[in-house]
Amino acid sequence: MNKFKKYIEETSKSIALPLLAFFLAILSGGLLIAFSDPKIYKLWKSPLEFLGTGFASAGHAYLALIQGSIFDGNLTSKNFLLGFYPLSETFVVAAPLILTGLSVTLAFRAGLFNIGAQGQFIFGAIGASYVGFHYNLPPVIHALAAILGAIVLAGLWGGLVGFLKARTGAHEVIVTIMLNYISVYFLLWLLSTQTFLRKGRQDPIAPPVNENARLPKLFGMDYRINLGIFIALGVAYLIHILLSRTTWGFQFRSVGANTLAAKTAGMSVPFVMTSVMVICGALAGLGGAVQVMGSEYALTAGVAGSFGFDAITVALLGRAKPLGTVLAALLFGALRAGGLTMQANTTTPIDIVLVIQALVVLFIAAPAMVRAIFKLKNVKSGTDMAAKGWNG
Amino acid sequence: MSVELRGITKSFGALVANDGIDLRVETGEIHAILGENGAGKSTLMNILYGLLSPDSGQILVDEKPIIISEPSDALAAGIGMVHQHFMLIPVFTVAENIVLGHEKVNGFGVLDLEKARSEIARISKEFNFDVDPDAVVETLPVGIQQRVEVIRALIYNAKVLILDEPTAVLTPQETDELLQVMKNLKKQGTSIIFITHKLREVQEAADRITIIRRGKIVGTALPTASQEDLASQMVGRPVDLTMNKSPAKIGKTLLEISNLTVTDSTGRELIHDISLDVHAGEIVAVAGVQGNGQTEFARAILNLEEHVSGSILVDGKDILGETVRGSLHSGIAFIPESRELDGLIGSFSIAENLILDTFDLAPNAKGLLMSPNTVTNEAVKRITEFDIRSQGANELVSSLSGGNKQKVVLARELSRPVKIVVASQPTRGLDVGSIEFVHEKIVQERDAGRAVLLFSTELDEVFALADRIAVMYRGTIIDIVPATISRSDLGLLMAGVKPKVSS
Amino acid sequence: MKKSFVTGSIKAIAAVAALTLLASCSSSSDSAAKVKACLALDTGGVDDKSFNASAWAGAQAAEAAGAEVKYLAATSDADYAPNIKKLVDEGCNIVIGVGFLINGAIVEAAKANPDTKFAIVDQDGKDHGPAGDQYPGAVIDNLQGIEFATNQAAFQAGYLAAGYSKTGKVATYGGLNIPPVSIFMDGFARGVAYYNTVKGKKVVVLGWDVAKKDGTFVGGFSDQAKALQISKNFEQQGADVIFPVAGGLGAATANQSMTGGKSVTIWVDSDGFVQAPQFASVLLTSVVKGVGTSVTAAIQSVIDGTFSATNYLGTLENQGTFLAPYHDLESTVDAALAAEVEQLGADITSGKVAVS
Repeated sequence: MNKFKKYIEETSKSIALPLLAFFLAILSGGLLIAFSDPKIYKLWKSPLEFLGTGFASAGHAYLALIQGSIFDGNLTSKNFLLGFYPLSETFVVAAPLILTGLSVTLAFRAGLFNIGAQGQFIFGAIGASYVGFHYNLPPVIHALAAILGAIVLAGLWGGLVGFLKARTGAHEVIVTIMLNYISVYFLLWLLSTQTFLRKGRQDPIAPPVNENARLPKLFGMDYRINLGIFIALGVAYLIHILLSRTTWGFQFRSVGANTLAAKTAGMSVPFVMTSVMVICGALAGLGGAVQVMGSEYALTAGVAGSFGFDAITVALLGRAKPLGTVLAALLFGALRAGGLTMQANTTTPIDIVLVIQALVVLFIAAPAMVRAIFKLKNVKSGTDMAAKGWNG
Repeated sequence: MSVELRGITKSFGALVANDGIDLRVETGEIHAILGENGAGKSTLMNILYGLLSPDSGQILVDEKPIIISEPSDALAAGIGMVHQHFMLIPVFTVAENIVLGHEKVNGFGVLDLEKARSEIARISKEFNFDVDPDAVVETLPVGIQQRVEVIRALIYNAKVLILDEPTAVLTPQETDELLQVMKNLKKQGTSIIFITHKLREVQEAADRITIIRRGKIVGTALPTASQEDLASQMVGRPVDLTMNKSPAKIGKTLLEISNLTVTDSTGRELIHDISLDVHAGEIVAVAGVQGNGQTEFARAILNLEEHVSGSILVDGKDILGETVRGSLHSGIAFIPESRELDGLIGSFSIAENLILDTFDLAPNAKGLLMSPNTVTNEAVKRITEFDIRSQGANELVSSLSGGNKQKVVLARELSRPVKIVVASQPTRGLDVGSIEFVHEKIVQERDAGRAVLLFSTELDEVFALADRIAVMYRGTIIDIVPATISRSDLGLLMAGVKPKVSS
Repeated sequence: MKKSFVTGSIKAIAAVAALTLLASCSSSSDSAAKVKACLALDTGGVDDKSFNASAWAGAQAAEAAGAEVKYLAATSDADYAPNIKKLVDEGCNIVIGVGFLINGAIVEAAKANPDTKFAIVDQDGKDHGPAGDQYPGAVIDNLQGIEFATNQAAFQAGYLAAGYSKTGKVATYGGLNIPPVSIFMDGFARGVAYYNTVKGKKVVVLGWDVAKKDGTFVGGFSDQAKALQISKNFEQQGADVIFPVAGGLGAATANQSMTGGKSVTIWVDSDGFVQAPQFASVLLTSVVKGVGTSVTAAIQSVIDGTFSATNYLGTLENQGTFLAPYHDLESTVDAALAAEVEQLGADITSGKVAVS
């Protein structure tokens, strides 16, 4: 009986919490949308119209969010399948995010806070771009070579962090933040050099990557969705295997969960830190490669967008698990793709769109807050306290 | 002043920490509360001191019911508490610490310490405490710091004093002094609630003993009761406290440590020029008050320390400078000082913890891929062999009790082919039943012909297990003595030979 | 308990969805015959008080001529292509990309959607082949490049600055060393040189070397602190007219002009007196890039049915670039100098004076 009650409590908690979080995000986002619509301020005097307009603009905005991320009936006139174009866009945005998110997730599991996915992404993009435009190789081989270029360059860049930490104790957070700056400015400089300057252009854009080095599109030219999403999902599965089934992953997790115990048990902490960061760098770099080879086709100063920083949120949201990271990245991808449509189809300014995205993440990421708002009883905190207090 | 608890019940989630506890402490009585870790002693005292509020039940002071919802209520009612971990600010003087939270200022707005000083002097004299009000707390020995806590309680007119595991941090001499202090306080009419799990102290100081097990009072006893009797009430089954071990059959030297010196990164010596041999089939105990270099010594043997000189021969082969892994696999089983900190990974399962140092060896792994089934099957065997009470191999170690956690460490380390066992404080914080188990295992290892080096701050443990005793003081071994040494002589050695001067 | 949570939430979501559907039906319609002109902005946002703002102002001006206008802002480079696709799908008659980084996406979109007209601000709007290295590029029939000879107005500004300077030193700096930026600096420096030739003076230009095609750059368009530092350095070296070519970073220089009181600022891209009135007291003039004018013109050409792939070049003649009025500082500008600057404009247009 007791077991059954506990089961019910736990399941309801695990399902109810994200739903309530989502509900709160939708509600507060709706308020924001309604109040960002200038029309509404003229309607103070008539409460009914005021509410109606508010509801309408919020509803319209959310509809646009769905139309931009999953399915849009307006696009089906030529071909019903085209209605799923928004879903394909979600995957396009999610692919690099999954990879950078995995980079942060893997580092988390090894007890490292990788703020440097942004810089590693940039180096991956540089590697992929250079191999992509500078050489002329046969199909498939060229793409593989470009990916290899990205992985090697970004892997070294990430490994540097682990090496510095292992050798000198330099904190990875500071090191990665600084390396992010270096990456950004290095990219700016690189884009002004003759090698990376596109012929006839002097603005910071590299030559486009060769056709052979581009990731094949999955559903033809009408969609941007490309092999990148499958690369990302495949790699996520590999990271899952790495963490759960290999001796390397076991060491990573051990060092991450309790460095002292890992060290006492004879694991080499410097080796773990360096190798983890090499892999993390390679993951984020692969994200850069997917972006350059899959959708942008050229290296620009802003190629990394905020993929490296969103990755931190994605990893946290995904509770530092590969599957969670994938789901969080898909949510993020949907929010970003849908956000663009929200801007396009409604009067919601892009800044408010970004705020709503942040709200959704905030509410999902902060279960304690949601619990407090709904005054949910926290089953776990009771036992926590017992463990501490029941010690006599 | 008398205190009575009636029907105190407190639960945390599904756990009932205190279940209808009735307890009466008379004026001028030393009342010991005896129980294993996790029996509910601290919860009960935290309720009495206002740190926790009970689900039901009543507190009466001098027969009048009162409500204690925070520590200030308890203080106002004359109940003071000395916690296991002192609540003192190290860089403040004794007087400053004592007025903390009750600061009074003079007419110029300057902190007035005079009254506190004279009060401290008075109490110090009255109870023969020997505490200087102007001494900076961090310069004082632990035993004196504890007295500062006692004075603080007394200065605010505590008539009932709760001492939570007060002897855990003391040397044997300091323990004796504390017991004397308690007796002095009692003479002046102060009631003392003395929480402990050490049977000898209870017998020495208590007037009455209440035994708690699993949140319930299971019995009361007089100090004249036998240790076996007290222990079995505490544990809930008959306990054999005497370690039946045969005389050691000494074999060849397996661990030979010469001129071992460890410094920190600034070059300060942590341990100095230690030489010690341990033979097959014997237990050498390193005794000493906590913090005299035992931690560093033990870690240095495993090459866990960085700046080490000297030599460590394992069966004739010098392993100094080896990797930690190399040291472990040279044939040393290592039971680290802290299960939680460096012995186990709490968020890992039992099975995973059992392979922390053999995860990549057959049959746990084939190449890069691990074999989870083998690992689990092996774990199931160990769980039976070492009697690890759990819900299975996949239960997280963090949810195990201290004793079962330690069994996981033992199961891991003793299941490898080893010649030497280095055990650091292997029973610290364990209940009687688990201590018994650990001690049996250690003696078994000895009898199987392994060399055992045991680090312990518990005299009872040292006497129960050791064949020889090395005494550590300020980073060196000041003497190696046979296990027949008297308790008081060993206590003196642990204090650095010099008899403890009460200046 | 679990069930009720789930079903409850599903009901709530369904209700919201129903509402959104209702709401979506009510709006959208009445765009029958109007020309729909849409802007794809870059990451600066519509309120950047510079490039994007000018373009949007130009589009709004076209509203009067009967166009329906809208814009989409990007949050990162990755948004350009999806935004343009959205505008095309929405039935925009002309999609104008604002900013050189959007060029690639616009070219792709123009090729993929021959029925929609496109324009790209600050690029030539030609197809340079898959490797981007074919020059001159092929004309794309439905894409018009919009370029500016801003060096004409900058040349005037240089002449004006040289004549205005008391210290004999003037300065300029840029965001990045890229053509749309350096063209201003080059024109400015040449204008100073022209003044020196005409007047036999030796006014020095800090921050741009005409021969080396290099000079002082912030390294981006967002580092206010660095822009301020550069401005301070120029002041310390004695420059009393500073011409920042770094979009919104001009605010840092104008700030220094106000607090230091040792220099005046020449604003860039738009008329600073209008865009940043808080600096009115230190703004000598502005070198205006007629982004708005060009956008209006492009939309007008669609309304009139005269749209062609022939590039638009903003010059002094068509007001695609010009020197803004002196506004508050008019009294400090010598009337003769003002007249010379005016005449210089006419001479540039007539080809009498070469600006490059």
